[in-house]
Amino acid sequence: MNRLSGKSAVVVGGGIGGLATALRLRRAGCHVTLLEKNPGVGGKVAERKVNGFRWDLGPSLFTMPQILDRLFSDLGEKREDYLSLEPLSPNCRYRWADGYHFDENEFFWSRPDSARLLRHAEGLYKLSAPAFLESDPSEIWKKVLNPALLPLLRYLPAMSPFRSLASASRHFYSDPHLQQFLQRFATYNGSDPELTPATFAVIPYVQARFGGWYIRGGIRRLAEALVQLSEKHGVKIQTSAEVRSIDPTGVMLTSGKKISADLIFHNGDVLGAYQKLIQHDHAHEIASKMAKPDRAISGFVILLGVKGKDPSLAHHNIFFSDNYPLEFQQMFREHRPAENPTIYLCLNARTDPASAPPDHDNYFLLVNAPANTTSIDWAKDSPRYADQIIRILDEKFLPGLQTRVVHKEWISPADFESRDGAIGGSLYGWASHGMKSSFLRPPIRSALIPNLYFVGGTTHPGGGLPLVLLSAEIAVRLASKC
Amino acid sequence: MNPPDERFDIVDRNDRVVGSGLRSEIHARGLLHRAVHLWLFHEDGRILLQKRSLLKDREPGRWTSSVSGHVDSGEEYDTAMIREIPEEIGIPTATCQDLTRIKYYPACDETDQEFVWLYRATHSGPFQPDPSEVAGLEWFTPTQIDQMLVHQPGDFSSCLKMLWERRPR
Repeated sequence: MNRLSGKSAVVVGGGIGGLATALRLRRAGCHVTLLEKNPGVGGKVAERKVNGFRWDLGPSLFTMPQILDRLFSDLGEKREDYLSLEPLSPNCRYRWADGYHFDENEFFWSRPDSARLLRHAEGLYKLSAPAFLESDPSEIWKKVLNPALLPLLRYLPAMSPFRSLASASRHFYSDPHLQQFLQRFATYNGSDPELTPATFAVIPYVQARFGGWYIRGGIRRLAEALVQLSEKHGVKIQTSAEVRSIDPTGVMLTSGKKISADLIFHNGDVLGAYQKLIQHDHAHEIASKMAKPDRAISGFVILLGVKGKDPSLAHHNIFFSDNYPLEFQQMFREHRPAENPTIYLCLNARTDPASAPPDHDNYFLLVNAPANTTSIDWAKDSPRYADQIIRILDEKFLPGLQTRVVHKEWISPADFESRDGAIGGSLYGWASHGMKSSFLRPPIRSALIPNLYFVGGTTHPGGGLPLVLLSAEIAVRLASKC
Repeated sequence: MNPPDERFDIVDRNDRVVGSGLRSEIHARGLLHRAVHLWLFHEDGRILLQKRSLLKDREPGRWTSSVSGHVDSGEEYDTAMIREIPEEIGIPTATCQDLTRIKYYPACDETDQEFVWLYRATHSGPFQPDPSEVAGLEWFTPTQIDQMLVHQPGDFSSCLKMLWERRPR
């Protein structure tokens, strides 16, 4: 009945996608070994603790909790026994230097223009989710042609994949602030709103429909829960085990040790796998084709310990730049950090006071930064850029911030590249520029090695925790059919 | 939104214009100035209340009149009212039925030294509120407002409490 039962599988990379894949394979009856090059697992879901402050270093937004719950229930477990999820309200607070601001919450989504956007996005979600989110690219067209979905096609014109998100934002909103709000969802996976298909407007729908959630204790608890489940269910985890090469018979470690396996799952940058790991005559050819489309942007992160609690901050906050097109121009076409970037500030101490000492706050600041650039020496320029961002916040939004900083450190695109093996420090794989790169990310199953599968944020369906968990689901389902 | 550079007229005890000043200065020095409030009634008799934005410098997150605002420098009460309606709740003023002044309140502590003209009108929605000014819009029956004032007085702006207690009957 189950083609996976009794087979041996090796999972390369212990990010959330790798851990979820290993657990699902184990549940299906495989003997599973997970190999992680770093001393600990969790991938981008890491945390930093210093002087009573705690910051999540990776994803800080969490939505679609039903996908996480499904992983637990498929394993015969209850998510509530491991992790406590709390809904956030507002989902996010948006602010502009001219004083305009709003909270993204139910009240905002009930405005007539927002409600109209949601109706279209919901139609599109229902039309596309079964095909796009829950299938491999090879299966998509079969599902899109499902006649039951035809009535939903009326929602397509306003959000066509051939129209840009920037254009759709002007269709739904007359206020330029709200247009900018909608455009920002392109940056969720590191892309330029003028080049990103309007179909990405389903992201705010997902956020409005499924809410924003906080994992009590920090998102790092998710990685710990998956490790705990791995031990309980018998996944073998080997850390400090870096893979040097992948071939149809298994993997070779840098230590020279060979691990044979019937099935191989790679959780990491797909481009990196084809460039460095896959032993096949055509691997480099495929890698050079993949390297062509724009790689998504990277990020520059600043961790701040701040004295005092600012009541104007919500859990998630966005501080918009005055000139959005210029920001993307500098990042995507001039390949340099934006001088006046839009700034994301996550303050999880707002929900979880244990994340900072009494009367202090823990700011996680993130700005988009170019991936793949050689024009900047991050080791030299990072301190100056960090101070520039803090100064922008101080002068335009949070007066007196500079004097209240008691701890400051940063993580540059160069650090992301060396830590995560993300090529160029790109955080989300490929930019969703145009239809092909948006909807046809590298397939989950390798074209060169039939028993090699890809999971994680650079493969299908895309970046972000919910989609990474879905990639694990799709990959294991595909493997069970072959 | 609290633009720091708005200019209002300063008035004397008899509500006569004696000069003008910046918003921040007028509030800091407790100078007398002017404001308008509107109570919008649903056809079924309920009243629309507005929850003030959470980032307001004064009384954030509290319930106040359907629409309210300062009279800008050089402006009359009526022109300020006509301007504020579309700005705050996104409907053309002309769609409000029977927009009329109903009561005049002299400046006092509860109004933050504002002379207030209270207006009423009928409109049953829908509204497109400016999310930067307005954190909520809800319909309440007069009885509900009476009860909430007893049980959760802190949820209301001090100005609305005073206007409601001394409302025309």
